[in-house]
Parts: sequence; structure tokens; C-alpha cells
Amino acid sequence: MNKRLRSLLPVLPAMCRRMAPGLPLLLLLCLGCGEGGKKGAETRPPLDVKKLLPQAPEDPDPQPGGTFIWGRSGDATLLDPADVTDGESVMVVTNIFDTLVAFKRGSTEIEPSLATEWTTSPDKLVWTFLLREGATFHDGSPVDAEAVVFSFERQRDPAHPARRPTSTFSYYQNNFKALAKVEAVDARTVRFTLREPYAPFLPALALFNCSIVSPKAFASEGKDAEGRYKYNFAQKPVGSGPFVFESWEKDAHITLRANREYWGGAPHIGKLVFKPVVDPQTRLKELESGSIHGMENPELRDLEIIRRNPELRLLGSPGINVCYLAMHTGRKPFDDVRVRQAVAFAIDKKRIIAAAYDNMAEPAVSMCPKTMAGFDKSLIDRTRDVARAKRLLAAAGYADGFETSLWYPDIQRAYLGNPANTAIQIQADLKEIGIRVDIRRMEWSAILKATSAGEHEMCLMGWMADIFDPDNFLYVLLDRENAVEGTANNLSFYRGERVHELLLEAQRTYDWHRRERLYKEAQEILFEEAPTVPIATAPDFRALRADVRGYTIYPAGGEYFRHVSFAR
Amino acid sequence: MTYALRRILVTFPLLLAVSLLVFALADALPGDAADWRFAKQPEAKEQWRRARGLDDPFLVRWGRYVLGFATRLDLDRSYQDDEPVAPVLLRKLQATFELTLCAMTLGVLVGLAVGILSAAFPRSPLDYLGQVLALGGISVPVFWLGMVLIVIAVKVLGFPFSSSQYDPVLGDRVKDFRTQLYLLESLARLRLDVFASCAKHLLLPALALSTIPTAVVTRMTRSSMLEEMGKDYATTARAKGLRARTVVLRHVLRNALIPIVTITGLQFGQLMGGAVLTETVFSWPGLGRYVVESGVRSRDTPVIAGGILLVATTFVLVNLLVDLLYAVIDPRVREAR
Repeated sequence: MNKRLRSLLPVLPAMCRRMAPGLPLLLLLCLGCGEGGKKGAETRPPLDVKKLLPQAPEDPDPQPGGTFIWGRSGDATLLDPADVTDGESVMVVTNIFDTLVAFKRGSTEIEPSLATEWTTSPDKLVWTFLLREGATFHDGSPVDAEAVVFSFERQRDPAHPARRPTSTFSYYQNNFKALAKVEAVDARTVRFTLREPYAPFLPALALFNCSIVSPKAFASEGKDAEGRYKYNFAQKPVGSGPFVFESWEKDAHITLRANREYWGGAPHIGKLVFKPVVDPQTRLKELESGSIHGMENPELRDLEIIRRNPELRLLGSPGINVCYLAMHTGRKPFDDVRVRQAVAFAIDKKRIIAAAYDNMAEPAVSMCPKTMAGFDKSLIDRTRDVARAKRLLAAAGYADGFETSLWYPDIQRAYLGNPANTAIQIQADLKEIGIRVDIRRMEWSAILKATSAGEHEMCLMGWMADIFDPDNFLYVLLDRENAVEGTANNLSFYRGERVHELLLEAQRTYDWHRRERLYKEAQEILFEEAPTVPIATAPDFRALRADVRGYTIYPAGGEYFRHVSFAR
Repeated sequence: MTYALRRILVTFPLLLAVSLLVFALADALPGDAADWRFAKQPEAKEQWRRARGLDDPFLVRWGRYVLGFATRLDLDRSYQDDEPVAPVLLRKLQATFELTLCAMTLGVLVGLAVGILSAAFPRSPLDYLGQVLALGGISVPVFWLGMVLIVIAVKVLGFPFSSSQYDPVLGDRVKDFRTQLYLLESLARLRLDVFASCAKHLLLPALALSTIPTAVVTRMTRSSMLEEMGKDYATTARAKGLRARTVVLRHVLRNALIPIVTITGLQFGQLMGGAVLTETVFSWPGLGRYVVESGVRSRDTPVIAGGILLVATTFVLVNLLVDLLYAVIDPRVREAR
């Protein structure tokens, strides 16, 4: 110890005394940061997604009242159910509006809602729905056949007064190409006429864009010079659902109150608040301190913390989505099926799931997820085989491999937990068979635009179902009708003739067993042809306060809070 | 008087230049919300562009924009829902203003006190502690500090942490509020329940946001005071027998104030636009976060342009105020030229 340091010694106690007031703060800092450090000290088994329940317990005699606050990662953009496209807006409108048919609680099965029964003509082109008696909109007007016609017509007719200049109604454009007209037969009967048979018609009617809106609300403020309704429905929605819109303070909260007159029985809670809390860590801390009662999208690394906290409850449900690698089959070298198969043989899905999903996802075999009816259960995935992949490449004339590029989005999606890690893992896998991949991170809207224009060689993308039908995965993502440059969803630009025939036939067939056979054949061809490599299906997670009752995850997306209550 | 008038007149061309820059930047952004919304409906998009006058020459559009802002406080309509963006942006500006005002008040009070003490007792442990804290305040990233504050509040102190500006349960009770300055308005209306809720929500974000102004003001105060204290008039005053406290607080501080006021004004302007990290961590419904989430994320060009223009305008106005304050503090500025 040198002289200078020694001279400091007598001063040290005094310094400590001076710093004493600061010590608790320092201690607090250490404590605060240490919470993640306890991992591994416990011997509880690791989290098994499959064992998580998708719902909170039910109260036999639910307590009425209370304000339920739902924490989410962003605010809604619009509240016009026909015009929304983002999940944050959807989960609000699903509580304000009703559809003709709806998803059963916690399932993708269809049950009656505003329509109590329906009949179809023998050629399946005319569907007649009988409306529920006594259902009213929040403004007091009745839910009648005219309102149903209004709700669909405004999406079809570009000159309809209940359209805003920015309205696009893209879900209607995508899902109801087969719909010719909607008419009111009498006050309680509505008739839909299709141009051609369309098997996913009924599940498509359960989608939020088919919500029945109040024509009276639209007309309440008159029309402007261009003949459009002035009423801003997207900011002040009026439906017939279990909750009534009350107020929207952008970025702060959307408040709904219980509809005491709801035809299906009033909700238990008195008020429902959607609160955007952008940062997932802040969101979790709010849940821990009880200022919100439930939240979406907890971070994967926080799942264990949530599970261990007795005041919280972790829910999980296998998702209905697929993350996939698409190869542009119109470009060399991916026009050769052997090259595509080689890529499929080289990719190690298990390692990707470990690196990018914290082992919380299921490997995908088909573009139709295992969780979706119609999935071909007889498909057995390729096991990774580098030697075979190299042989396939050599046979295609690429013994020395080749250079290519892979584009991936810069944001997380439900099906894409960590896009960068996924891309890096694929790059490493393909390097082993001599394919040198230049990976490129792209801004979300830019990658959507560039890939649908077919500018990519390979891209990493995913899909969540809109309509709960295999058609929504296979036809949308792999049929040649969806491989039009500029508007393509079929990002591999696969144009197989047989697959096209099978998918169109399945679309026009109502017999489920026949459809299942058609989809099975299509999936077998697609597996062999490998225009895409399906990678994973990721589960959905929610975290709740332990005293929340009656909450259920709806696999179809959206959130439904009618049955939620607080424990007594 | 002429100084003030001259200073105010200069503001107008400055704001015009700012608006041109902002409008040109927003115009140059590749892709917008409409591209995305109308991705599969090109004809509908063309029709919409024509109706909105988006195909007019740049200068025509800019002229229309500036005129709209100057005469009606109009900042164009959103590409997402076709609603005017100005009313929402102005509300968000108020929320950011309230947060910034509290953080700055805290920063200036603490910064001045620590700075004055440091300068009065240079090279004492107090001075060193003050300097270490100031350096820390500048160096610590606000979002990290925000997270740590939340963790301490929830995990250690059991503080019922809640983000945003006030408790949504209060919903009905703030319905009649005219501004989004909930803390100030509830105080003015003597609505103590709302005030308490707002204060609780404001505490942590204001604390996190105040670290940088505190540090900057501390350092500026200290160096400016030390410089003034070394001057002849200070020595003379001491030699005449004035008490050290009087010299420091009456004479030196007043002369040292000019750079401090300047830096405070700059900091205030900076925080108005730069509070976005704090606003994100604490989900504060402020302007920066709104511009990022509803503007940048969904490419809603009018929201981006309007938001930046409002921040820039505030910045210019705050600095105008600072310049006018110079004249109050220092008579020499008033009489110059």
C-alpha cells in the first residue's frame, strides 16, 4: 500500500458516515435488479406450454361490478369494425359489436349470434338468415334486416355514404369475392346470394369485419357536400354488443361500459378499459402492482416469473399461425425443385425454435398449422440430412452451392418471436450445404411491399388465420391466383396446376370429408414440391391477476370480456 | 422595447423556414399510410390522392399547409382515418408540456441549489458529490433509469405503480376537464382526488426525465458561478465587508444567471421533443410517443409533420421567451444597439 493510500485510511470511517444516507438507495438498486437472478435456484420443472390452460377459472356466482383494465402493447387505430386490420383495434370492436354468427367461447366453432338460424338452397348459393328478436343497438334502434344489409352494402359499394375517403374494407375485398348481393326479405330475414359455392362462407361471417353496425348512428349528423355521412363512426362506434363505447383518449385508454340490456345477458364487470402500455416490462410491473388486471404478449423470458408469482396467472393456448421461409420459385436457382428440397433438408427447425422462440413453439410441417382442422396428420417431416441436401444440390448442378439473399422483417409478430435469430439460424444451416445467404433486415411495410411484388429471392414471413378454414392458409399462401406480382400473398410464387385445381375444388365443396381429402392431397404435393419451408407455429400467452375469473383466450383472435368477473 | 419587438419579428421567418423544412422532409419520406391501406386497390388510391390534392405541386401544397396552420391551426387530416390531426396533437402537446414542466421545475430547483452550493464550497466533499451526481445524471440513459425506478417502486417500496397520466377509473371525473394539463387543471379546480391521482402518475416519469436538466443546470450553475466569483467586483464586495452569502446570492448569482437561463430554455425545448423515451417507458400519452406510434409506425405523414412542427414551434417560442428574459435579467441587453 503506498503512502498516499495509507494517508486516506483515517478518513475512511468519516467518508462512510457521510455516505451512509446513500447506502439504502444503493442496496435498493441491487435488490431491484436482482429479481431475475434467482432463476435456476428453484427445482420446479421447466414451463411446458402444452400444460398451460387457455382460461381462468369460472365463478359459479360471478360478482357484479368493477372496472377491468386490460394492458396491451399499443393503441387502436380505428374502431370501425369493417375497416380495422390491426389486432389492437380488433380486440376493442369484438366487444362492442355482434356478428350474425360467432365463435363459440374459446373455440373456432361457429354458433348462432344475431342470426338464430339459417338455411341454404340446395345449390348452396343462397343463404337465408333469421335474425334474433329483441336485439337492439346501443342507440336504441333495432337490429333488423336493413341494418344487416347496410353493414355489408357499405363495404361493397364504393359510393355508399357510410364510407370514409380512407376506407378500404380490405377484409371484405379479400373474403367476399363470391358474394353477389345481400337483401332484406322482411324485417327479420336476410338473404345472401353467392356467385359460386364458397365453403368458408359461414366462418367468414364470424369475422369482425362482418359486425352489424347501427345505420341510425351513421345518419345522426347528416351528410356532407359529397354525400357522405358526417358522423365519425371510427371514433364513436355504435354496435349491439355486450359493451357500449364510452370514451377514447388516444394513447391513454379506451373505456367501454357494460350493456345492461345485452340480449345474451349483461357482462359481469361494470367497465372495461383498454390501456396501451407500450413497454412489456412496464406492463408486467403494472400487472404485478395491480393497476391493470390482465395483459397480452408477455415477453417469453418473463413467463417463468409470471408463473412463479402467486398473485398472477399465466394462460397459454396453441396458436393458429405459421412462420415460413418462402423461396421465389420463379427465380433461379429456386425454380428447381431439387434446390428447394435441399433447403428443406438443411434447415434445423428444432434449433430455430430454441434460438428464436425460447423453445416455446411447435415445429411446422405444413403451411396449414397442426392446430387447424384440415391439417394432413399423415405428413412426416424431413429429418435434417446435410449429406442428402448436398446430393440434391449437386444433382441440380450446384455442387459448389450458390449465393442468395434472405429478407426478414424488423418487428416481432405473434408467429415470429425473434426474426433476426431465425434468419441467422437459417443462414448458418444453409451455409453447411454451401448456400451462402446474405440476410437483410427490412422495415415491416417495406418488406410487405417488396415481397408481394416478388422482388425477393428468399423471405421469412408468417400468417395468422383470418377465417378459420384451411382455405385461408393454403389458397391464400400457395394458390397461383394469389401469385400476382404487386398484390401477392403467395410469396413463393408457386403456380402448380394440380394444387390450384385441388384448392379451387375444395373451396367449392361443402362436404367436409371430401374437402379434407382434397387438402390432404394438396399438402402432400406441396410438401414434395417445397416452395416454402414451414418453420413453426407459436402459442399465444396472456397474464392475468389471480383474482380474475371467466377469462378465455379465443384462438380466433380478438378478446372477449363478457364473461369476466373479479373473485369475491 | 425595440429589442423585444425585433426579437419577436424574427420569429416569423424562422417558423416559416422550419415549416418548409418539416414539410419537405415529410414529403420526401418513402411510402405512407395510404400506400399500405390501399395496397391492393390502386384505383381507389388514385381517387383518394386527387381528392386530397396530393398531386398538386410541392409549393402549392406547402402554401396550403402553412396557411391552414397560421389561420386555423389546421395541420391536415390523417391518412389513417381522414380526421384532422391538429386537435389530437395539441392535446398530446399539453400532456408532454405538463411532464416537461414538472421535470424542468424539479431540475432547475435541484440543479440551482446543488450548483450554488458546489460553487460556494469548491473542492469540498459536497462539491465532489454534486459533480458526481451531475455526471451520473448526464450519463444514465433515461429509459434505463425509468425501468429501475419502476422496479424499485413496485418491488421494494410496494408503491402502487401505474403508467399513463391518470387512473382510467377516474374517467367520469375528468370528463369536464378542458385541457390535458390534468395536474394543473385539477389544482386550479381544487379537485384534490384527481390531483392526487395525477401526482402519483407524474412522480416517476418526472423524476426520470429531470435527471438530465438537473445535471446540466448543476454544471452550468457551478461553472458560471465560479467564473463570476473570481471577478474583481466579487472580491471588492467581499473586501467592503459584505457577507459571503450576500455576495453569492445577490451579486454573483444574478450575473451568472444568463447562461443558466439559456441552457434551461434549450433543455426545455429539447425535452418537449425528446421526452419520447420517458413517455414510452411510462406510457405517458405525450406528443413524442404519439408521433412515433401513430405517425412513424404507420407512416401517417400528416401526424409526423404536424408533430414535428408543433415541437419546433414550441422550441422557437420557448427560446423567444428566454431571449426576452435576458432583457429582464440584464439591463445591458435591453439597451444594446
